[in-house]
Formats: sequence, structure tokens, C-alpha cells
Amino acid sequence: MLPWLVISFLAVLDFGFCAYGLIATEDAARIGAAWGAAASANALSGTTFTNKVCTYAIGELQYAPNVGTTVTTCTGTSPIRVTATYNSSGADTLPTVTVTVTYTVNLLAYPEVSQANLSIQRSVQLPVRN
Amino acid sequence: MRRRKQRRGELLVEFTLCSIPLIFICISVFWMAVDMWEYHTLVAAVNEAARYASVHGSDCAGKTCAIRVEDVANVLANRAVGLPPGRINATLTSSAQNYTCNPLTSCQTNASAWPSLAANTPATAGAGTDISISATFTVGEPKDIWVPGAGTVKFNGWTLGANSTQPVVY
Repeated sequence: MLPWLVISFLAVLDFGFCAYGLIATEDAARIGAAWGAAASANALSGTTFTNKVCTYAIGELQYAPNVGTTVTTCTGTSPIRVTATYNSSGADTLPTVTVTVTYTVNLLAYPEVSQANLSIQRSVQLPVRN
Repeated sequence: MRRRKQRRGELLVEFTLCSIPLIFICISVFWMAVDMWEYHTLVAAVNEAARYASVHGSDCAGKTCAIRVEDVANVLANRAVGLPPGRINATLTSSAQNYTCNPLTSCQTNASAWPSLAANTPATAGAGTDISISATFTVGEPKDIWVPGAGTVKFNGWTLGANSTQPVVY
């Protein structure tokens, strides 16, 4: 009985961090897409768009495990990855922006049961407003 | 017959020895789940409040849609179901004006305009400003335990946090 309870304690902890990451990643993708969709100049700004999405994603995930204040980029060993693209003919043939945010959360690994980390990915597509 | 008599009460002793850690772990699982729920509620509430603020920027300055610090604080407090506003510390940041709400209740009657101010401009054509809401919540459950010889042992609560930075939309 005791091992099961200990495992359930750790599972609650892991699940909680994953759920937090899921909520924050979803929010980060929406916020990044909102910035890109605000104006076609934003949507077409390329690297500026990607950097802006990265800044928002780091802000959203600031209190998530494995991020904190040490993560300042979305490249290299960063647990946060972002892509931001402009589609001249996206959903409903409207010009849209698509933002994808990927966050890798470290888990407590259970041998033969789960892996040591989990990647959470969320994509948001929004029509460009003007 | 003599051996059976010596083993009487064995089950009771074993049950007592096992049940003590079991009870503690059951309580720990419960409170950990509650803390995680608070963690999620806080991040969702902060995002909701930041979104609310981001659509009431400079376009609302001087208009009927203008909002105040108390409006944002109340959105955060109402959205953070189960988290007492008195234990939430929040910081409202914008390029125009910043407010520190330690605790959040101190801002729930603050009638200063925020972020409906001229300097908080919408994100258009590469310009525009951001607004940011950051909040922390100190967990404080009845985790105190009584330890023989040491009396009541108090555990320091830990702090959960959430942040949301969003572009001003209107």
C-alpha cells in the first residue's frame, strides 16, 4: 500500500506541473498570436515576430518549473521553443498568423513507466486584423 | 497453545506501525493536489486579468470603457476562486504606471485609472506597449503537526507564482 501512496504523491506533483505548463503554454501561444495578428506589419516582421513571441512565452512560463529567471532565450538548451509564421491564405482564405509554443517540462522519472521529460506544444492561428 | 497466546495483538501493533506513515502520506497527497489546483487557478486568473487589462488600453482613455486599478484587481480576485485576495500579492506593470498590491485587497478600492492611460498604446505596425500582471500566492494549509518531544512543528508555506505579459490590443 505504501509504495502506491508514495507513487500517487509523486504523480500528483508531476501532473500538477504538467497542467501548469499546459495552461501557460496555451496562454503564451494566444498572446503571441494576438500580437502578430494586431497588424500586418507585425505579422510580416519575421525575426521580430518570433522574438516577440519568445518574450511573451518566457513571461508566461516564468513561474513554471525548469524556467524561472535563468531562461532568456528560446534557442539552444532553453526548454521553450517558438515558431511564428505568416500565411497569406490561412483559415477561411484570410491572411493569418500561426504561433506554436513548445515547452519541455522535467518530470520525476519512473523507470519503465514514464520518461524524464514531456514536451507540451500548443498552436494558435489568428486572422490578421489590418 | 502457548505460542498462539504470545502472538495475540500482533495485528494491532503492525496496523499501528503501518497506519501512521499511511495517514501522513494520504494527507500529503490531498494537500499537494490542493496546492496544485491553487497553482493552476492562479496562472489562469492572472492571464484572465491581464487579458482584461490589455483590451482596455489607451483607446479607452477618457471614454466609458475606461477601467481602474480596482477593476483589474477585482477581475483577478474573482477569477482566483478559492484563493483569498488577502494572501495574493500582485504587481500591475505598464509603460504608463505601475501598481503594487500587497496584498491584492489593498488595490480592490483603488480608483486610479489603469491601464486606460494615453501611454498604453495598442500593438500596431511594430509599435505599441505591453502590460504585465504578476502575482504570488503564499500557500498556508494546516500542515502543522505535533511531534512528541518537539510539540507543534510549523512548516513554512511556499510561494506559488504566475505572470502574464500581453500587448495592449485596444
